[in-house]
Amino acid sequence: MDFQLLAKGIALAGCAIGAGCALIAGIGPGIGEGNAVAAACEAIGRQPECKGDVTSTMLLGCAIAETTGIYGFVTGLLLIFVAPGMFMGMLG
Amino acid sequence: MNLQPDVKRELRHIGIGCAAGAVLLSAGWGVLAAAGAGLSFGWSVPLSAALGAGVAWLNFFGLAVTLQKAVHCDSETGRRNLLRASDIYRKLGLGVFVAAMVLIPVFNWVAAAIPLLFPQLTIFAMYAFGRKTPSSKGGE
Repeated sequence: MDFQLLAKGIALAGCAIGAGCALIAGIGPGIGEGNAVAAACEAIGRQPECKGDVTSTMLLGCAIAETTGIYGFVTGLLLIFVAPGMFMGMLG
Repeated sequence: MNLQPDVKRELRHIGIGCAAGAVLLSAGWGVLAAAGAGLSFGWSVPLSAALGAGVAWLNFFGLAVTLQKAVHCDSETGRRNLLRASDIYRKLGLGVFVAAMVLIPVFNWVAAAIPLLFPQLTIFAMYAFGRKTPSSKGGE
């Protein structure tokens, strides 16, 4: 049995599974942004004079909420494009 | 579509933050390379950092335009579809950018990927240094 080939296969499978798990992080920001916009619309409807403040705060809040999504997304892409090459190099 | 003055102001802040971050990243990279930290420094590092900062600002711009449109949208379904479409297109753009930076050997993908988080770091810095404070108590 070729153990090197088996190790490469396991490494590639790990990269693919890891990338899939990392991309799950993109779900949270989507739900959070939807909730933030719904709450902002409600707040603007209640106090239209605070529209500028509410929009500005919502924008910054949504950008912060996106941090985990971008982080997971970049990690997933690196697991797809960079990690397999590194593992293949290490395993010969 | 005209951008609200508050949105324009935040876009300007984030743009300044991204530009400053790209300069700091390039300078820090150069200092570490000169100190013998095992990093290679060339023109690809500032170029990649500048491109990454530009893409990060564009991503924030897309978010700002989408949110402004979503606030003015009447139906909840339309708002949800707008947010979903924007999220997909922005993530797709980021994915294409990171993939291009990794696959094209001219660029440094680490220097290009770090600036993608500069808008968030700028917002943290704005709150940390008191540049952004709640202007009113609000409430009913």
